[in-house]
Amino acid sequence: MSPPSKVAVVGVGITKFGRRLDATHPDLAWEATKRALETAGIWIDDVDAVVYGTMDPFDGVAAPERWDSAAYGAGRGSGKPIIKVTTGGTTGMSIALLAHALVASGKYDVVLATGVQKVSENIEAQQVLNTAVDPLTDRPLGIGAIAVGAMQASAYYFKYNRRIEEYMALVASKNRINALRNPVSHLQIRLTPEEALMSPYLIWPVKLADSCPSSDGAVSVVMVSDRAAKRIGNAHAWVKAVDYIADTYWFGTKSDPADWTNLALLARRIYRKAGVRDPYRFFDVMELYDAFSIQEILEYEALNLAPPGQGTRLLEEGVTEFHGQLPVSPSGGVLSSNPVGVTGLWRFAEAALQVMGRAGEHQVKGVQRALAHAWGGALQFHALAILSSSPE
Amino acid sequence: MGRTMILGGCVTEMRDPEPKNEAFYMLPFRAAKCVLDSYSLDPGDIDFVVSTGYDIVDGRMISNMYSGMASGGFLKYESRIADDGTLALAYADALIRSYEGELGLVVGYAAREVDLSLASLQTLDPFVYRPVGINYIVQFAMQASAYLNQFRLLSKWDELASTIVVGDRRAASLNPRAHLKGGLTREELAREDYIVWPLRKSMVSPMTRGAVALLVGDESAARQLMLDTGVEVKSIRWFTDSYYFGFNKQLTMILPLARAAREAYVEANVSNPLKEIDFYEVSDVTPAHYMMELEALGLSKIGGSSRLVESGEVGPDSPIIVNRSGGSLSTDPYPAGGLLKVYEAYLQLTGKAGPVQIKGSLRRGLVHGYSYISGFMGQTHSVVILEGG
Repeated sequence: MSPPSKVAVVGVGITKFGRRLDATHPDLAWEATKRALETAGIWIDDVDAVVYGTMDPFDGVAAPERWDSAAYGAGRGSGKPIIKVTTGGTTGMSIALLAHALVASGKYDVVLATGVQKVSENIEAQQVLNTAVDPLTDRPLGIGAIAVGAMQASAYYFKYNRRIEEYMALVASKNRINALRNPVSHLQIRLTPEEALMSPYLIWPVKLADSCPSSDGAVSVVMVSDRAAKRIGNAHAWVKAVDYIADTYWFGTKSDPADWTNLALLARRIYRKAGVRDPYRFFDVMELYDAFSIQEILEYEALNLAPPGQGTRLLEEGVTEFHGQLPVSPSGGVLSSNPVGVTGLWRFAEAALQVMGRAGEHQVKGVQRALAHAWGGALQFHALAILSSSPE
Repeated sequence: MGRTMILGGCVTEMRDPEPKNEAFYMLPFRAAKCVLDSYSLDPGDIDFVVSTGYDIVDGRMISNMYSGMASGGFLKYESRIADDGTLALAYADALIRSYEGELGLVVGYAAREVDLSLASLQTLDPFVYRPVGINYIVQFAMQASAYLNQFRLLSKWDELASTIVVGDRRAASLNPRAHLKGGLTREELAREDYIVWPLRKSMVSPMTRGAVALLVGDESAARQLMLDTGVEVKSIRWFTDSYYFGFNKQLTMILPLARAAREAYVEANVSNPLKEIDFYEVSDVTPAHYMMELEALGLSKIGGSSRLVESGEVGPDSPIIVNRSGGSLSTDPYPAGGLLKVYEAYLQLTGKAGPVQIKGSLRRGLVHGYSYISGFMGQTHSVVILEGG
């Protein structure tokens, strides 16, 4: 049996995020795809297969991959192999993981991974998200994503740190300021920690400044086999390892929301797979899924950058700032743009851009290894990907 | 690369959508648990779970928050596609061949929480197709009427359709896993009202509630767990054609299926399917689709499959064995329909199909999957070629 192919990212296309009333669903799909193909130096006919993802209920069109399919060359000849994946907040990374598997397995040499989301098509994203929770026990309570983030923050407050709101404000400020360097970012605001602390509560202890926006946008990534990488792309980000974990929906059967233990379990798994002994030294940059500022602190701890309850230290020491030792979300992160079903692929794409040295104004110097993360469901799904400048 | 084997599987009862007397995620739970119990497996033996399901059909967003766990995905690599279940098998195949996992479950279920006609309208764009109200049954009828007109088959339609529908139902009457078993004569079919001309009620696949779980893995996993090596997935290929007319989209020829079949034949080293494939399980959502699918699979020239039907050369008991299980016209747990056909093919190739077992030694079977709810005329077709040990 021959070994699996190595997989490289050779092209990335990211649309402007925000309320994109100027574009239809297929427009966004094409905008991202065209940019990804151009950066890879190929055309749609060079693409063997497409992996597409979205969270349909936000957009008012179920299965929009069919409507969007002309953007991927499905209108040419007998079409293309297109496969749709949808796993909640992790959808974007699930797209990347399936595209990776299709290339690594030797099935295809050139795969386009694409996600499109148009949250502005619905009246209120939280009401749509409320349809995800159990219709008998949880839906009548009006639970949406904010309630889930607040549960994590309040649990952390009581278990570890009564000053957690101050640290959440540091995360909110850091990522919003990072976003000023990224032209695709939805929110472009110079937010100070003091201003973040003064913003109104949504659900205690989560404030408006601690929360992500609802964004429209699309991301496309071209992934190729090592064989194809010899002829495609000027810069490559090699996918060193990927993994995914799914936990239970029911909160009563999950661990304390103050600790993201399912992410910690996944981190240990992927670190073992990629030979990561000290993540703090191994990685040069991380793009984490911080839909709420508390989550970035929980992620530091789950990813073994700090012991449980000690993630705030990284913020005190400025480690994760843009010029820190381990910058986290230099793109501005999810706190600045959240095209939900695409966001995970955007984390993956930003990590790839950093490794390729193509992140533009928000490029971190000397990046060789990057980690991308996404979470989804009822704090129950996580996906991780490790990208490297070297195929080895 | 590793070889992907189907090592076993389970199906729940295939039945009418009503009554809905349990939560939708109990369907994948019962199918997945049956697999683990039947093969004496511990959940810890499983590396990954890939399922197929649609939020809009399940009536709730991110429905795999429930169905993923119920399918055995707890603390596993778990993912969900929203296409026909054969593409979930393609995902599992990629994981095995890329060494991301050795043993997994591929699960599909059809809970039918929402009427599929309404769901299919929701998959259309809000500007062009949706306002016209062309749900999937109307789309089927458009294809059927175009096919009958183009190949001058209108006068023979009732005869052809009843041969295919009654043939499927007769086969299903022998199949303990089928939904609609027998109970339909040519005369009864001729007396049925049209839903949308030229399709009468029994000429459209039924809405079936049920679930399928397949155990898949590579040979080393099978050896370690002392499982029979089962059947090999020799090829899975799929194509999606255009959403809009005017981009080579054809009403009467299923180009994406033809392309998928051509590539699958090459990958599986099949040069003459009529001689080298022993049986076919196709997603015959209408009798017209049955004929178009035979043509796309290369079993007949374009527009010529009616002659195979008339002469009795194709059918569940014919020289060219098609839909021995009873086909989609008897059982259609969308989007698990393709997976159910893969399971039926697995049973045939391992000699475990029971009353519908084909006599003689079987080497290869072909399964056709059709993601017909999504988009305009479904667009995505897949071909799976399986080979026995």
